[in-house]
Amino acid sequence: MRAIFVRDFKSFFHSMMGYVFAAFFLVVVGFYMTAYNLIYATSQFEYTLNATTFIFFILIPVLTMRAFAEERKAKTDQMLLTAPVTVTQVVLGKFLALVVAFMIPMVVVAFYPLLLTQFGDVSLKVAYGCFLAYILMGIAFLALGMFISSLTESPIAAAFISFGVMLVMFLMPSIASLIPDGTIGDVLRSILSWFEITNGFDSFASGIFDVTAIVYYLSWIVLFNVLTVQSIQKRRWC
Amino acid sequence: MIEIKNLVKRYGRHMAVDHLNCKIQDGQIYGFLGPNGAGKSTTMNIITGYLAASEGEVVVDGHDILEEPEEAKKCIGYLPEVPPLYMDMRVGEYLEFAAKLKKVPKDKVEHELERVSKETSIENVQRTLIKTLSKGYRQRVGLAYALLGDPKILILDEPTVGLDPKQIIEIRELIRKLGQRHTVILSSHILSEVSAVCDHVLILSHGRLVASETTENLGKRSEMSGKIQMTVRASKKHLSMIFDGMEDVKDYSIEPSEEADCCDVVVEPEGRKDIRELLFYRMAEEKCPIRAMMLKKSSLEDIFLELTESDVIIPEGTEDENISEESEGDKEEQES
Repeated sequence: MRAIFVRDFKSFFHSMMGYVFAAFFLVVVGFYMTAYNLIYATSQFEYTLNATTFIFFILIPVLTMRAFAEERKAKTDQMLLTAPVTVTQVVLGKFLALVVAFMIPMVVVAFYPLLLTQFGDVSLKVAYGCFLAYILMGIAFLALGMFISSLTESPIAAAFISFGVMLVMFLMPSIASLIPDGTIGDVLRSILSWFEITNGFDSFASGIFDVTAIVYYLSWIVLFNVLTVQSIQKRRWC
Repeated sequence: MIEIKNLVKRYGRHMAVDHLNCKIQDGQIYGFLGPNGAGKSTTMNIITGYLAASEGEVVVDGHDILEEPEEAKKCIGYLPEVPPLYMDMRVGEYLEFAAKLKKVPKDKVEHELERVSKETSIENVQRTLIKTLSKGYRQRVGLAYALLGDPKILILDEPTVGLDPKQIIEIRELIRKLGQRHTVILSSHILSEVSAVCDHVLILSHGRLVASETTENLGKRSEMSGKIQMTVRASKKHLSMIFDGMEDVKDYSIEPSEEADCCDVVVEPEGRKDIRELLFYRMAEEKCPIRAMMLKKSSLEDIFLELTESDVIIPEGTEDENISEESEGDKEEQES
C-alpha cells in the first residue's frame, strides 16, 4: 500500500497535475481573500471559503481523473492486481495519495486566518471549524471522483463525468426547489436532499459546528472507497 | 506446480475458456500455443488472478487463487501481453516500486534490482525514462519486473511479439536460461518458437485444450503419417495404372517433377503399413527407376492446423455458435 501511495503521489508532481491543482487553487482562494478580507476588510474567513467551494468541481476531477482510468488504459492495472496486495490496499494507497496531494495547498490556506489576526479580531474557532468542513467536503469529492475514474478507461471521460455529477450535486438545492409540492414531490425532494453535499458546509459557514455534517462527509468517503473496491472487483468477474 | 481444473470463462454467451484441465509440473518450460483468440491470454490472466474464472479452480503451489490470492500471487512473476510500465517513471525507479509492490524485503531490494537488471541486460538504461525506451527494451524491463522477487513460476504472454529477429533470439536464449531455475509458461501463436524453447506444448483452440505433449513427441508425431514420397522416371499414365492395381495403396497423387521425364509421387499406404520395399520391387518389375524415395514428414505446422481446425474436437450442440466464433474471438482479445 505504501509503495502505491508513494508512486501515485510522486506521479502528481512528475506530471503537471499536482502543480496545476495547487497553483489554481491558491490563485482562486487568494483572489477571494484579497477581495473579501483585505479590500472589504471583513474578519470572517468563512466568507472566502464559502465563495470558493465552486473550484472543487472544477479542480477535483482534474486530480482524480487519472486514478484508475489511466492505469486501465496503460494496462498497468495488471501489475497492481497481480501483485500480492489486496484490492482494498490498492484503492486506499491511491486514495491517500489523492488526499495528500489535495492537502498541499490546504496547508498554505491554513495560515490565512492567522495572517488576518494581524489586522484585527478574527473568530479562529469559526474560521477553522469551517475550514475543517471545507477540507472534508473536498475529500468527499475526491472519493467520488476516484470512484468515477474506476468506471471508465478514459481519463477525459472520467473528468467530464465527475464534473457533471459534482455540478449537479452543487446545484441540488436549486434543483430540489423546482419540484412542486405534494406527496411524491416531498418524497423526491427528501431523497434529493441526501445529495446536497454543500448543506453541511453551509452550517459551518454560518458558525454552527454541525456533527451530522461531519458524519455525512465521512460516510461519503467510506461509501465511495467501498464502491471503488467493488467496481474493480466486479471487472474481474465479467 | 499449477493445477487447472475445469476452468471456464464466459463473456456473455461466448466461451473464452472452455473446461480447461491441465497440470503444470515444476522445472519445465511450457508453451501455450494457439491461434489468436484461442483463450491463451485469458487463461494466463486467470492463473495470475487478474481475472476471475466463471467456473473451475486454479491452484498455484497449493494455494487457490481465489481463496489465498496473496500467497498464490507471490509464487508468480507475470509479463502480460503489453508490459505494464509506467511511462512517466525511470527504469530504476519503476523496478524499485515493483520490488516494494511485490514485497521484496527492504534489505534485499538493491540486490534484487541488480540481479534482474543484469539478467535482462538493462543495467545501462536505469536512468532512462520508460517512455523513451524502444520496444525491445520495454519488453526487457517488463521481464525484469516479472523476475523480481525470484518467483517460482514465470508466466510470459507472447514475450517475443514486436521484437526484431536479433532481439527474439536474445529473449529466447534468456527464457531457456530462466527455465533452468524457474517453471516457465509462455504463450505464442508461432509454432517454431514454442518448439524451439519449450519442453512441453499445450495447444489451445476455441478455449479448449486440444493437445498436450512434449515437444519431442510432437516431433515424432510428424513422422507417423506413413506417407511415402518418391521421384520416379515414368509417365503419369503408366504410374496411375500401377498404383490402381496395388492393394496396399490407399491413395496417391502424381505431379510432374522438375527432373526431365520424371514424376513426383506421394503414396498413402493402407493402414500405415511400410510399403517402401514393395514399391521398390513393383517399380523394378515395371522398369520404372526410382530416383528418390523417403518417408514424408508432415510439418509441425500441418499438425497444428490439423489439431486447431479439425471438427472432431467440437462437441455436439455448439456448432451454431461456431459460426460467429471468429469475430467473438477478436472481441475477447480486446476485452482481456
